[in-house]
Order: sequence, then structure tokens, then C-alpha cells
Amino acid sequence: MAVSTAGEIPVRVADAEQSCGSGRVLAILSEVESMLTRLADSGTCGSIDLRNLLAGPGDRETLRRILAEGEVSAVVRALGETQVHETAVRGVWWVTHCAEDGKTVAEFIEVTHVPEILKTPPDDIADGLEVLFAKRHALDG
Amino acid sequence: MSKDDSIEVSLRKQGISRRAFMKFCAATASLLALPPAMAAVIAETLGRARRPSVIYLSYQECTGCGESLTRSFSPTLENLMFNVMSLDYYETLQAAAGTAAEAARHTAMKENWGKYLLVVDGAIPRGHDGAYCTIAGESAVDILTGAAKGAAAVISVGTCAAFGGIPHASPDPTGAVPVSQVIKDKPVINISGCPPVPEVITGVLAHYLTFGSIPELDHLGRPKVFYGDTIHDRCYRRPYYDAGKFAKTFDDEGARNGWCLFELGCKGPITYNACATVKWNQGTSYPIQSGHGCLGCSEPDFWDKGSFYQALSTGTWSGGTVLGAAVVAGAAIGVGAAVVSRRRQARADRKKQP
Ligand code: SF4
Ligand code: SF4
Repeated sequence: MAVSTAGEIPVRVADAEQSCGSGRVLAILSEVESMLTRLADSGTCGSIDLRNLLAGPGDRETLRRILAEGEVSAVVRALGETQVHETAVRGVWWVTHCAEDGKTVAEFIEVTHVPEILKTPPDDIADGLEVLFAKRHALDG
Repeated sequence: MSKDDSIEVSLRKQGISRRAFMKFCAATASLLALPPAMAAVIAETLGRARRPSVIYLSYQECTGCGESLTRSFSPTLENLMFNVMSLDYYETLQAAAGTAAEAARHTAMKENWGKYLLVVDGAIPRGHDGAYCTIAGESAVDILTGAAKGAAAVISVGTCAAFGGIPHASPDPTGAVPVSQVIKDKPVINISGCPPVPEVITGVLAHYLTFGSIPELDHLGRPKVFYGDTIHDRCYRRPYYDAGKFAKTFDDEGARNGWCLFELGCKGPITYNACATVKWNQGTSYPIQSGHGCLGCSEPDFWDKGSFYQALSTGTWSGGTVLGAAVVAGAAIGVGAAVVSRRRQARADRKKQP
């Protein structure tokens, strides 16, 4: 077939359903299941770093589709946005850390009651107190 | 920001919250392939550490490695990385020039003697007594030798600094050598690649800052955390390789179906690098995912080993003759090449052990 423009190059986007990645997705799901069992039995939290696990095109989409959206979503704005979603599997959270330009820098599945990033660290609470003190001081004149 | 501040204090002075710092540590742990729980350990250690002085020297290079480094992470996190180091000398980025620049290097060396990190990109020309590369009247060999004396660790960034790279390629008119042939009295960490994956460069720096030691290295001086597997070991096209399904041309049905690129010259089976996992452009893709075979750019002498488009089984790369014997068809190729690659690494690792 003669091709004269870039648009004519036949490109087929890999199909997530049929990609060879299904084995990888199944392996992640089975690890999530063990972690969720531990959380239910003993309260032990777990975390899976997705960086090296979703290697194939379509893996991420497949895993997201299977876990689906749950009841809670939150956005943390610290050095760029961090998106925190509880999946439809309660206790299983999808945490995506992005930089300020929106690029993903790390991605985790956290099996926990509340992801750490949503809790305020003690140092930041101390900062909060200072800020509040300064605001009140300004009002007092 | 005072040089004596700990990293945590200097970040807080810039208004960076503990939560944001924890996010940076989580991204760093992920990059170093550490368990997610290690983010807290990284935060603890990095927080207490002082910002180390980094002296960055460039010789026979194209600045591709520097371009790569400045694109590790996205701007904010990259800034954070630079904020936890004190980059005291880097010709490409510094504002100072001429004698002021050289004075900055001498001052940084004197103030941090025995403690600074020396990062080098580019090969070192030794021909004609080093006359092919001089800065302020001093040859590259002499500057490097002098700077390495006071360094806590030496890091070669890019295949040129690690293995000689393109300057060392035949006919090598300038007598170009890698850093490890000039500096023999201390370990040199090789971060190879043409250029190296940006996150691998910052990952090695972060490892040093966090643990205060150099990471475990392979037989070619590369950190195993990033160079422990071949591209082929982690390639998502691998199931096609094992099934014997190969693209024969770049536009045939096999190529369109995403089959293995071995027969189109892919050097993935004998190339150790992190492209298949860390990927490029903030994790977007890597050459094989974009339809082109691996060139083997993180291996020594990749430039002189014949066509990038000839299959490994034709025997032009070292180990190729062994591979050639394994080439029958389909799965036989798959298993053969991978086994040869692993054995080669295992043999080299055994040799290295005392
Ligand atoms: S030969 Fe290349 S394309 Fe094929 S599986 Fe190995 S690394 Fe991937
Ligand atoms: S895929 Fe191969 S040639 Fe391409 S950057 Fe990675 S190691 Fe180098």
C-alpha cells in the first residue's frame, strides 16, 4: 500500500482486553486480595507500587475498570496534585501523585482505612498553629 | 538558604510542607524500587542530612545527558531534587564564566574536601597528552584527576563517561577513554545510556543522599537496582517472543500487531537498562513501545557492533555466535537468547565476587 501522508500510516491501538497484560493485572488483583484480607483480619495496611507492574499498554485501564470508582475522592495540592480515590472495592485506594505540570510521578494502590497523604503530619499541625496565631495577632491589631 | 541547614530545614524555609516532602519521598522510594514503606525512612534520613556539594564536569559529550538530567521528574520535583543538593559547579547551568567559574570549583572543592560528589559526563581524551580537551589551560585528564582526589564518590553519567561511548568509537581519533580508566583508586558508579533515563540519574543521587553509600553495582559498575534486568526481561512484547511471533518489517502485519522486534535488530536481550520499566518522558513510553528495537545504548561499544537493524542472531554482538546457534525459529530463539543473557550476567557477577 502506498502511503503519502503521516495520517495514512495504519496504526492499531493495542486493545486492553486482548493485550498480553491480563496475567499482570490478575497478579495485582490477587495481591490486593491478600492485603485486604490482612486489613480485615488484623488491621495491617498494605501498599503496592504500580510503577513497574503496569508495563503493557492497556494494563492500567484494565485494572482501573475492574476496581472501578468508589464513594470517596480527594485532591491533595502539595507540589502538584495528588488524586486519591477509594475504589469500588472498599478499603482499596488508588493514589496518583502528580507534579505541578500534571505528569504522574508515582502511583500506588493502598489497602488501608485512610491513605497517609490525607492525614495532617504533626510538623504541619505545628505550622498550622503558627499561622493561626499570626492571623489572630493581626486581627487583635 | 544556609549551607549548614539540614535538608528538611532548608525545605521548610522555602515553604514546602511535611506532606509535600513525604510525597517527594514516596516518589523517590518508588523510583529506587524500594517497598512503599521505605518512604518514611527516606524522609527521616534525607530530612536530617546536610545538602551535599556536587561538582559536575563535562568533557567529550553532546549535553544530551545534562538535558536528560534536567528533565528527570517534572519541574517542581526536579527543583526539589536540586534543592537537596548544592550544585556548586556545572558549566552548562552556572551563571559564572571564565576565572569566576574556575574559582567557584576550587572553592567548592576546598570547602567540601573528601565529601563532595563528583559527577562526570563525556569521555576523556588522552591522545596527545590530553590536548584535545582543555579548560582554562588545564587538560580534562588533569582536572578530573585533581577533582576526583577530594571526592566522596565519582559518578559517570552516560555511556561516553561510563564506557567511552561515541568519542571512543572507531577510529577514536582523540584516544577517548571512560572515567574509570583515569580514576583507578576509588569506585566509579556508571550510569550508562545514550542518554541515561533521567530518573535513573536522579535515583542514583537520591540513593547516595539517603543511604550515604553507593548502591550495589554490577560487573560493569552500574547500579543493579536500575541495570539488574535486561530490556528483554521486562519487555511487554516478551510473550510474542516466547511464542515465536516476530515482525519481519516495520510495516508488516506483525509490526502492527505489536509482535516482537528481535528480527528487526532489537538488542533488548543483551541490554541492561531500566527503559522497559521506568520508561521515558515521565513514564509515557520507550523505544520498543513506540515500535523500534532497542539499540543497546547502555552497553559498552554499542556504536561499533554492526547494524542496529541486524538481528542479534547474526552474531555481530558479543555472545552473538552463541545466540546464532539457538536460532531455529520461534520459541527456540526466545529461550536461547534470554538464557545466554542471564548466564553472561551471572558469570560476570561470580567473577566479581572475592
Ligand atoms: S527482542 Fe526486543 S522487542 Fe522482542 S521481547 Fe525482547 S526486548 Fe522486547
Ligand atoms: S531501549 Fe535500548 S537503545 Fe533505547 S534508550 Fe533504552 S537501552 Fe538505549
